[in-house]
Amino acid sequence: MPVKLELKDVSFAYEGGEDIVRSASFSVSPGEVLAIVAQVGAGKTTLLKLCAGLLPPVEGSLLVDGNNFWDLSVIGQLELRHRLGFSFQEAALIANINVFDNLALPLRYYGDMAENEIERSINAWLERLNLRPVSKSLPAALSSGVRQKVSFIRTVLLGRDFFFWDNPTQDADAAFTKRIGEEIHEQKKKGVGQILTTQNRELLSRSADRVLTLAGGRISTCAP
Amino acid sequence: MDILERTGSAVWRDFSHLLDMSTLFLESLKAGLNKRSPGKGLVFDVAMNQILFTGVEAMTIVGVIALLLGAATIIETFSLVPDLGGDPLIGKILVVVVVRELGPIITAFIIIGRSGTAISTEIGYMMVNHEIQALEMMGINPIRYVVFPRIVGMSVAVFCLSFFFTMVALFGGYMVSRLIIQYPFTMFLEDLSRALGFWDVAVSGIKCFFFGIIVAVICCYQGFSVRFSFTEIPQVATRAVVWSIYACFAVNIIITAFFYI
Repeated sequence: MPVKLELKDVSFAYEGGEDIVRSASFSVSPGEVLAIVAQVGAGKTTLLKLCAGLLPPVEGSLLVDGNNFWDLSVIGQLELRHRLGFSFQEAALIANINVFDNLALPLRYYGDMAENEIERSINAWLERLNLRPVSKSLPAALSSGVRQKVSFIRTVLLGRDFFFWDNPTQDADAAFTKRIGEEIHEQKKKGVGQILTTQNRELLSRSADRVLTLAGGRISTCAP
Repeated sequence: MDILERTGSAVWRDFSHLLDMSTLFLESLKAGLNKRSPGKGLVFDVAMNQILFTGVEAMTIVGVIALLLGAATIIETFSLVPDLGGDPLIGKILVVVVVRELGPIITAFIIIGRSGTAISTEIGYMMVNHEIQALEMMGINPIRYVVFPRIVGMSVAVFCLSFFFTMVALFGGYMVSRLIIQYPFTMFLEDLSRALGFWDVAVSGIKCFFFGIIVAVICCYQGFSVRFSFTEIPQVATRAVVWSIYACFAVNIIITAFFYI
């Protein structure tokens, strides 16, 4: 079931550093696509990770369907995160297992699918993005563009209730950028909320319902 | 005042590290032994891989070191006891030195250098490459998937390797020492079996079990302390080795004192 996500007066600073995010408050409803834009190094990824519960805020709260994420037990947090898809800018593939095993990891861990079903589902995705030849390769042997494609599959492979896209088009070619746009659109149609950070103006104008600008740690404008 | 302050803050810092590591250990037990948690098969696979890497693949180096140390110990013992065997002291010295002390501690040191650094480095890389965060976003508990199987794998591996070390050191060492000294095998066996008791073997096993847990927890903890940069990784690996050595020595003396005094 799609979730509603809300940030309330969230501030964050890395240890010994200045505030990267100051009193950020906004919400994302099911089916809505929110884009965060900012200059390089302004804190887009940090803000996205705060929204995903990957970083604990110094102040403020993250509400998922009205529940404070950081009040949940570790198991509760993991179960909730299992429903959220996060596409990492750096792909963040597990380095010591091959592409296929990377994609199969969450499916095998939760044991929801039989092995032949996992194989069929992953191979279909690999086929679609022309990645079948690299299915047995380790992530280190892949280019950053291919790694990002694999990370994209890992994000969308499981049905998720909310998506976070951290600069997904950074190393993408035109065809893959188009595919990402289509996926965001498909998820939106399903009523899934999404937050996107990108420098790609075309993707931004085609996908985002709202644009949030982050500068100096503050959300300075919130354009429709 | 300044010295007092600095000493105080250093003690407090070390104490808080100790508390954090204890918490990591307890959390890993909680996460790993939770029957309702998913991923049992995968966690088991990671533990098996850890045993393979830490235990099986280290057998050569442990075997060679055991052989040389065992031979040296037997020859040295013989130089101290002039009788050609039959002296109860020979067996006692071998049991104390090889079974109770050298077996567990040397195995632990080899494991610290070989696998401990590998664990802290691997987790450090996982932190910098955001792999740990990726696991979390897949709903996979890193404590259950990364830490618990390493603790299990290390303790089982150190336990088995130490047994292997002791066997090679005693019997392989005996074979090598035969090149230099005359000591009939039946007499060697007789001296050894007279001196060796149940508690010698049990205490050696207990030590190994604790060494495995300690080394795994320290190395995982150090790996998780990496934040942003690859340059932090060699620093935490070094710290993991130093802390593990200190901790193993401390636990060794505590267990020895507890059982033999």
